[in-house]
Amino acid sequence: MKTVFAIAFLLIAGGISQFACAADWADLKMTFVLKGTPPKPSAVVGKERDPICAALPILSESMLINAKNNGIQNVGFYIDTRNYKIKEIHPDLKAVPANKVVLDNKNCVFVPHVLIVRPGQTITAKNSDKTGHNCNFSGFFNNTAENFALPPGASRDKIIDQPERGVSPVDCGSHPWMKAYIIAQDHPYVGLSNADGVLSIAKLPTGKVAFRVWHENAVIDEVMLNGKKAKWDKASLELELKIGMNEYKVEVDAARFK
Amino acid sequence: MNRLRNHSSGPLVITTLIAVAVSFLSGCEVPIASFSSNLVFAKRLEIDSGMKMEPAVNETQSILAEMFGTPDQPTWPKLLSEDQELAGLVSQQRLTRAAGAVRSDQQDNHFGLFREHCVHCHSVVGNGVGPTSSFLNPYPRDFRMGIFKFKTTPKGKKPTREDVMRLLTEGIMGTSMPSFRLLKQDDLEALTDYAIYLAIRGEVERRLMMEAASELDLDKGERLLDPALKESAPDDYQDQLRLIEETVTKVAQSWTGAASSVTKVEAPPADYPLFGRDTAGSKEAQDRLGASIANGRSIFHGKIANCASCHGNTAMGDGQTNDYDDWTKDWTILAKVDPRDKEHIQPFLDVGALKPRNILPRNLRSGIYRGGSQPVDLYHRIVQGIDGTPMPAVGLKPDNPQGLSTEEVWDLVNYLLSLPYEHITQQSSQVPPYQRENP
Repeated sequence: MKTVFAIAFLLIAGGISQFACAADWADLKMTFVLKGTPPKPSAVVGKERDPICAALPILSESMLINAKNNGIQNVGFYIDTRNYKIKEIHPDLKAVPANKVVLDNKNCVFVPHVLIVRPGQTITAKNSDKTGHNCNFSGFFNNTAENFALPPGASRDKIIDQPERGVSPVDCGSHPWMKAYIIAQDHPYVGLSNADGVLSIAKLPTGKVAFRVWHENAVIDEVMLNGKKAKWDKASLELELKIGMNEYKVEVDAARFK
Repeated sequence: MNRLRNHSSGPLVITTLIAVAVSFLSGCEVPIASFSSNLVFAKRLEIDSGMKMEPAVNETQSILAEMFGTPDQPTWPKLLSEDQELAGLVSQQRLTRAAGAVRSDQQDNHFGLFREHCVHCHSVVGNGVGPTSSFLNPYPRDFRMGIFKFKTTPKGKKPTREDVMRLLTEGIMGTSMPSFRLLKQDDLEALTDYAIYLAIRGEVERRLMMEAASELDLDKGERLLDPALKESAPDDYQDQLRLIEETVTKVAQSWTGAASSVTKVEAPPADYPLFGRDTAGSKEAQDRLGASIANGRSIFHGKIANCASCHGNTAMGDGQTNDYDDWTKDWTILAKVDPRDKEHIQPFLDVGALKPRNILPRNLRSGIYRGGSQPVDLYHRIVQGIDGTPMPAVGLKPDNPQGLSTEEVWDLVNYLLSLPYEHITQQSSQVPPYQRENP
């Protein structure tokens, strides 16, 4: 009987500590919305050189705004290591994901436009188009530059073995409008806003955490944060994260974008 | 009245002219106290980080002066000369020989070789912005990114010492870079060391500035190496010092590693016909050559190598002409600035950047190949791509099943070599030679 009690006690205690542990972390949801009139996406330059691309309606992806809710897509948001040193990573997120991250060349654009990878992960660049592409990984600071030709149907792997300080572009020399961006931080706390302007970062440390914001086409330094005017000094924002879900709405004036 | 004014200002003009002439003549003799800072890169970091980079620029400058010395007295960092693997990369003796003011001894041994031969294009710090640079097309190379185009190693790897020597000896055809073949071997060796030294120094500078912009709050006075910590927090000080030393070592190691990463050139089949050598050979050799060139032509226009997309259907370099090289993208695209946007590039031009120009694919019908015109040079360009440019590396079988076989690469080499002699339009058999096809 004593043993049964002991086991029951251990199970309960274990359950509580597990619960307590899980509850010590914060989740973050940010919604980025454009204030003002979204600019019309411009046509890309040079597509007439390739008959296959020329037949496609390709518009610049440097600023993707959702027509329904003004959500700003492709805002990168990650812990700012200038102002916050990560002491602990949630156990579920410590291991580098084993999956490969796909960078497709599709309809003469890169899909996705922005990739999040952890050092140790591999990017598989593939070509789903009927025209030849190449993937020029030359915007790195720490990883080795590579630029491989990708015939139709081909795929090649690029291992990202080092973290990058900034955001690194990928180009296709045959089609200079094609741009992708890689965010390779040495931790899992990186978010990227979707087509509705929403990004989520799970299992963050609680307390004051500094984040860095990135958008390909803007210096985001003045915003409305949950309805209040806020100045983001040095593209950095400190949030007081509480246990559980933390939600923020960020409104960015159209004038911040080029 | 005008005459009078001119007359009275005559002596002044002459004096000024003499002064300018003297300063030109003696320009090389003037001591140069320090290397200039990479302000263009600092400007990019300023935009990206939202911080004023001046403190980091100044601090980087003094760290570099401590380790790498000055243009008059360059030093190979002590930590590198004490490292068995890295000590031989650059010799202090050769550095001293290449640096400083131009002078020679009675045996006609020249000193100050870099200022004698290189600075007017590449500048004292090797940033490619010497006095003549803006008049040249292409612009002279900026060594500080550590990227070199014409070499025998894959993209992303440094050139070997022999690669740098080859550029000095052969020059770069189609550019303003001349051949220095007439210099003594010792002089060329000294200049090679000095170019590698400047490239390493410049890359360390970029890395330290990037470190400062990414990891420090410069507005709060944080520093890369804070002397105040030496007493108050010696462990933190040691960490800072270690990070700087690791940066220097890592950059130097990337150079010593080049020799082991040289691209292996697979020999063509024994009966490979070569354009030029076999053009007037036996009937059999000519037939084989014709077939090789025809295969090369279809590879050129095919989807695997996809050469025509940039070099154009005519191979005259008129395909994709809207891109930029990595030296330009480094301060435009990476600073979120469109290279065509005059207003936003101006602050970069103000601190020394040269006006952006599109990178143009080579006109392959001109017979001028910057990286060398031997078949093996073209082989390297095809299978490695060209660093710093949009030119990709073609994949090789069997590692890349969708790539080319080495035999196909050699056929492409034959086609490229034949291009300057191939007619862009072939006279049709229906039209006699004395009539125009499209009157």
